[in-house]
Amino acid sequence: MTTGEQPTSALRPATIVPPAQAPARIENLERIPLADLLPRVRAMAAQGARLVTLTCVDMGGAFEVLYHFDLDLQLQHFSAQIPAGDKLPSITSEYLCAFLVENEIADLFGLQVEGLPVDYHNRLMLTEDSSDRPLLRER
Amino acid sequence: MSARTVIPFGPQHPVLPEPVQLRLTLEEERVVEAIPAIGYVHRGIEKAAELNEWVQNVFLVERICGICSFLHALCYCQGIETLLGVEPPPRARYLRVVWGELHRLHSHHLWLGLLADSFGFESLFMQFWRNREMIMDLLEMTAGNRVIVSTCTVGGTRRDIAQEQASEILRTLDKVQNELDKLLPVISNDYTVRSRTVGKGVLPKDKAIRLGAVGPVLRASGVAQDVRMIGYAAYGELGFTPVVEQAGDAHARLLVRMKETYQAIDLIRQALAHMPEGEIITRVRGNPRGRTISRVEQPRGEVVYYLAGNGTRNLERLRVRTPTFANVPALVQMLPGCELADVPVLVLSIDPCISCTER
Amino acid sequence: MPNMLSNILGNIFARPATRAYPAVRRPPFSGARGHIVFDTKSCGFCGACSRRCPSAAIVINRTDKTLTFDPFRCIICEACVEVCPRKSIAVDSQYRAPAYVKTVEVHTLPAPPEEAPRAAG
Repeated sequence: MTTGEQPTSALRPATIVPPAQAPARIENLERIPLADLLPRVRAMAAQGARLVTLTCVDMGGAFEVLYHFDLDLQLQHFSAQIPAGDKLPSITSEYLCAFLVENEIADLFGLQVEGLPVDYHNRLMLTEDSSDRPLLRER
Repeated sequence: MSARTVIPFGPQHPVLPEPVQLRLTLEEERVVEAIPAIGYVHRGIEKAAELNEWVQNVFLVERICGICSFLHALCYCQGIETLLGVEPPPRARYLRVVWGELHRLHSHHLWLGLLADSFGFESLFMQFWRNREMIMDLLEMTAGNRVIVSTCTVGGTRRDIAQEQASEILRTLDKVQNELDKLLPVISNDYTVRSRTVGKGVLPKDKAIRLGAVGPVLRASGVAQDVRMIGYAAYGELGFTPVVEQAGDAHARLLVRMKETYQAIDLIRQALAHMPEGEIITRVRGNPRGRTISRVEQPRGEVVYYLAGNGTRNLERLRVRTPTFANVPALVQMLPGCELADVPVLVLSIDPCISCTER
Repeated sequence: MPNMLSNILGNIFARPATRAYPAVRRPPFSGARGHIVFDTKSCGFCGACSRRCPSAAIVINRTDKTLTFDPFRCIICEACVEVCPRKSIAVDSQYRAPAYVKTVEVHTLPAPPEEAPRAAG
């Protein structure tokens, strides 16, 4: 991207011309149906992978939940889509450490998680009197 | 079977600089269960990042944490650079290593002092914090600010380190190392330190991986995993092997961090010695499109950013998984079986950063 | 304890590591980000700084030619300094003194010199 021009500060207002190259993609990302989630997670656990985290994305009417695993610094991601209103199965039976992030997703997105060993009932991040779902997109 | 007592540890507690609560169920003096409660300082930074422009977010993500602010900015900028397809110039990559390791150095000093304070070793605490001031002065000299250095930006860095500043850094690092040499025997052999940390909160290797522990907690359990090994910034060009300890107890975590201070000093020296001349910033145009994962090793462990852009000035989603968030489950599993008096030491042994955890 | 003994004895006879702050002040480093200063004489009130400011500390009214700056929102990130097309914003290395009351600064175009009265209309 270097041009012959004098390099200027990156803080200049960016031009809105879209870049020529294709949008960046996450490597090793595999879309899986929700029913396959637990068997696949179990297989990752059997290989000794470390659960990095879960990411929830509001897609409007549905959620995409990404599961990030690390095996010797190689990342492997699973992506499962879940319609709004459905319950997400908890993976805490395989990875106990997921209870925090699953509770966080339940709090901030209002996506219900089924089978949590410690359920904060949407009060992990939010206060007692809060009723909104801060990370949902405004429509 | 004795009666059980529930003790709320925190959110306000002398060893906790930040609010987090552990609901401890005790049988006499022994902890049988610990339930964490966070959310006291949740600031909604992930949401704010969707509302701000992506250029402004550099300053926002720096404020996720006051101790590893540069590394948050670095992780964010590397992610945006992937989305935009830009490559920072070589000098900027070395400058990022220098500031990143200065941050690791001062963060570990802060933690080593706090741990000493948690078991009442005040003079050791003072020594570490006195040392830390020298590093804070280096940050202020090179970046203009002690903590939130704001030197990293998308495409490179915003400031350069001049030759005389580099020699000043090297001079100060010699002094810091000289002081650390006096403190290393205290950390590894002192009776007080050993009696409060050896054998406390043992986390076996397989459990550490299964619980998703990261950073020094993982490496103290014998797992040689450090995100710097993937070679971001200039780490791939510098000699670097992760510090690993096998014992998995609080003392092993202490030793890992102590040895990482030496490693950070060594990396800064290497980076300054091999720093190429040239530009420090690449011109950036366009807006981020697509999505990516960015990872950086912070003093507390691996930080993960998920960035999704849609070609506008605002990001579609920014998700931050900070190291303490990953280490809290490990802590919860460490606590059962320990004495109530050891809880402060064990809580500190994961180096909790609550403002990171809650974002 | 024996490991710390020499250290402790050394500290008894050493000078303090701290400074008697209000009385003794360390001069700021040359590049220190103390506070932001505006030069309204050269300012074109284009609003670039206000759009780029991540903490919304600068509000510019282009018709009145006023610049309202809230120093208590400012995070001294220097984004406005870098973005200003006329280099009217600078960073001073002196830190601002703490205050009891939060105030905002209002900068306007300086009054025109008397020998050149503004043309009517």
